[in-house]
Amino acid sequence: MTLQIKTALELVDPELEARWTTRRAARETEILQAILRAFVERPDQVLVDEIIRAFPERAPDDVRAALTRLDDDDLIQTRGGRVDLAYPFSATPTPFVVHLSGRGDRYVCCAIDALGVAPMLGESVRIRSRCHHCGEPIELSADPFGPGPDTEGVMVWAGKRCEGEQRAWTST
Amino acid sequence: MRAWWEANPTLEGAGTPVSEAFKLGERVFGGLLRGQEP
Repeated sequence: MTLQIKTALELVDPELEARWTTRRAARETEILQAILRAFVERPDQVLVDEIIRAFPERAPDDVRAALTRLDDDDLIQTRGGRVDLAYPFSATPTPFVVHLSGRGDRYVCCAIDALGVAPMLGESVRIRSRCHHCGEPIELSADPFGPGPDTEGVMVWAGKRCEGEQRAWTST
Repeated sequence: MRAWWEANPTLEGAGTPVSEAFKLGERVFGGLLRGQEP
């Protein structure tokens, strides 16, 4: 077996894209965006109660049901009254850190999620991680239009998607 | 990456340059919060 190097088109996960497309067009979109904005604006945990309070025109049970659907679709993860994860962000530490200008560091779920933050927000970010082979620190930049020149030679491992998976960086 | 993969040859997946990985991140998250006020 040999190491395969693939393009983005060859790596597209139709199942994942379909879930995002469905939810972005659905009523849950405003709730998902509120959660993501909370992750962007501050490093604290996002509480289910604050999301409910953000939608006073909707019944609390309606918002809870929407959160359950987002969780079922693996777009967020809720536990103990908190939103632990809302792709690309994670409330718990991961090997992947995105620095948002003026807002500080945020943990993200994997390398590809880290690279998705700049086009998501429309602003430049710094990304930190470590080579999963040698442990060498990796720091690179990305803006809404692509990765910076400091990414030359850096490779990302896109593993077969499974629960809890994290995509790895390597520096060569 | 080749050295890492040779140490983990049973892992399913593929390597991709950061430029291609960016395209994947952009496909999933691109524009989701762009221009929105908190």
